[in-house]
Amino acid sequence: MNAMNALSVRDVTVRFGVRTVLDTISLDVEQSELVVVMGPSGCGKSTLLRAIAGLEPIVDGSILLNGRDTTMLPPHQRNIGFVFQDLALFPHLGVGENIAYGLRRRGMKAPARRERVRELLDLVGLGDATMRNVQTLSGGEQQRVAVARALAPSPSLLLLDEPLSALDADRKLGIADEIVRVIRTTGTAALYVTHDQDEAAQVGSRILRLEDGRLHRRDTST
Amino acid sequence: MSWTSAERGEARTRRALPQIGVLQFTAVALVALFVMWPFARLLIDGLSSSAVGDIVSNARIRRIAWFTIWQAALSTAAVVTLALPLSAVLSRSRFRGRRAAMLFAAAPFTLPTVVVGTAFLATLPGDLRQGWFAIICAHIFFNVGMATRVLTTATEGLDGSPWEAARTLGASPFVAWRTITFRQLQPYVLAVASIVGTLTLTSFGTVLLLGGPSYATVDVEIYRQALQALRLDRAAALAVLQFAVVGAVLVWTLRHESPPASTRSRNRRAAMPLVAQFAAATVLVGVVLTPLVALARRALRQADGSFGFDNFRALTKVTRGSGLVDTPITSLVVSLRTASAAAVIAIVVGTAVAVAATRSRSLTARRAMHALGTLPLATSAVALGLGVLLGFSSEPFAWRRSAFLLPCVQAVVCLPFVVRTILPALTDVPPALSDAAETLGASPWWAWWSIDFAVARRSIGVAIGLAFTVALGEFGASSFLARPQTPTMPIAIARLSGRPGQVVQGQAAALALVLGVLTMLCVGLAERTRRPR
Repeated sequence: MNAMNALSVRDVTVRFGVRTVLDTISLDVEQSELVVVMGPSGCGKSTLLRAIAGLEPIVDGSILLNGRDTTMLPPHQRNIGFVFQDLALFPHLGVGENIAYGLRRRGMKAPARRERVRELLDLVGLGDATMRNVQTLSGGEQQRVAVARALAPSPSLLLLDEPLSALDADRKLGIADEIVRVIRTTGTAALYVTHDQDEAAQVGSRILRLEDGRLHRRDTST
Repeated sequence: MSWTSAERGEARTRRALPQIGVLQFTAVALVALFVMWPFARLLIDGLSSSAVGDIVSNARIRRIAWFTIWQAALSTAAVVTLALPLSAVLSRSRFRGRRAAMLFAAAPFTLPTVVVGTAFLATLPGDLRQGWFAIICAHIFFNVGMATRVLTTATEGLDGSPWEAARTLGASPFVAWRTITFRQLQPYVLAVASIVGTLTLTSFGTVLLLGGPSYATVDVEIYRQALQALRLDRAAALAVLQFAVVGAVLVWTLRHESPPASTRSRNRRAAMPLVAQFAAATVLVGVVLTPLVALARRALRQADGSFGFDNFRALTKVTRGSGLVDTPITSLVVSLRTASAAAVIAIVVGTAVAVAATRSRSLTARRAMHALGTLPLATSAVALGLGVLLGFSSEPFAWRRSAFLLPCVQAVVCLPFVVRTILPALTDVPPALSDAAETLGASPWWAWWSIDFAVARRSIGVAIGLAFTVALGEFGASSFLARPQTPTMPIAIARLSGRPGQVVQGQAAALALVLGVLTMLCVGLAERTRRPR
């Protein structure tokens, strides 16, 4: 175990009933590293992220964040950012309120919250969108709000679950570049899941392949 | 290997809330106390005496049972027969105000049954005011708008291409409708018929007012046996038999229910001729408007034949021979107070049931909680009232004289409506939203409150309006439990309607109009809440 790793997953197994979805998975993500997990639909990629976030119970193994064992911690105590496949923006809250949600939960005062929201909106190129309704945003704009919201509380690890799956093929790569830029700017370690080979190649410094619930082989960076 | 949410099972798509067991226990305890215990007392009292033999061998009661069945069958057939052609025309109508007309036509479905009864006393002339004809007319008025609205929406959603294919093969419009559209509509027709059938089988308020001395349904007879003849055992036995008959109808309906027809392509058939559209709208609005106008006219007609507000002013006076010890308007205060308390209880318990039905650990527990929330539908309000009367008159639950019993029982009547409004709204909130909130630092309960509850808040607003409206017009159970000195509005209306005299009849019509307007306002407000601004 390397205490400096942002994430260490050790022999994690997840089962749904009698079916084993993740079979003794182990992987490490270093500080500020962006790792891509690639694999076909249904291979267990999303389950891996959900298990790391504490949203899916694991039957065996352990999960360490910055060297701290979080295996038994509930999701809200793990300090993880999560960009969901369908983005999961809160439809009843505006853009600014979406981004500030995690900051409020951490007890940040209103002026500091406003400042942080502005900072993140500038970072993702949506500087004047604070008051906008999230349902009126384009797919790409929603995508950027989701990333900003996940990064707002300065998580120790960012998990991205096929964040570009809802976008057109020709817009995907541009936004993938944008996401990588934002993640690198903040210096956050990230685990990025996709089934798209081109997207994986564009995003990842290191690509892992997941098939049938097992990490089969490891590609070096492209 | 593919893991769809269906393969993973419904129970795993939405994560369980911690300490959900507390909610489950509370919901089970309350439903057990206010639904299962009264029903158990009905069974104990109804089946443990010679009352079953008494009622089976009693020719009068057999006549009542037969009337209950045939009036329900005739009412259902009349409603469906009227609603089918109306929906066929309205589904192909494009006139302005069509949606408003349909909403207005469905309004009687939300009216308290005593208001409907009083309206028909004011509508029909002479000998027709009371008897089987008046009852059937009132049942049509009450149900036809709802039935037309459901069937129109269903027809609009049907795949229109089979009808077009039948027309190209030589079928006339009517033959194409009979052989294709009607068959596609059958599941919806059956669903509408089962709702109307169940409601008319257990009809109470309308029949009590319009049946006169000669016509009664089983529910009316339960009431008379319990509160006039003081034969609680016979009333309980009748309630048990009625439960068996209504249960059998519901089971039969569920067994014969088939999945609705395909809605792949929208029905884009040409609009009906304007004459037909106008005729359908006129019939529908006419059927609904006539009794309401008649009620308003009766409420405004003064003793000297002129129109004015004398009857409304008389609501603030005690009239001799009215059957009320206080002014009729006092019943408005009692009703508002009781219905507010009932709505609060129903919303709290209904929300608890809906949360437990969406966020329990196992799928079985979720289904059990859902069933628990709709359990009160299995019995009529009259049977529930009788069960509560029997169950809460002696130790260990001697709460008969307690002020909270009536709101609690009204809340039980409202519970299925509340659960059926809130549960789909909570189910529609994507599970990923609360997952996202938790990864952002919210505890599971805070994530539920700030996200699920907040997203579903419109439906919770609708449920509050619905619960208040249902409680306000509740008559069946309340007639067993309200204190004689402080009746609720529907009880006061029924008492006034049953007494002779111009003044008292005028008071009845005025009070019914106040209750009707209040109910429609609440429903309108709830509908407004439903629409996103």
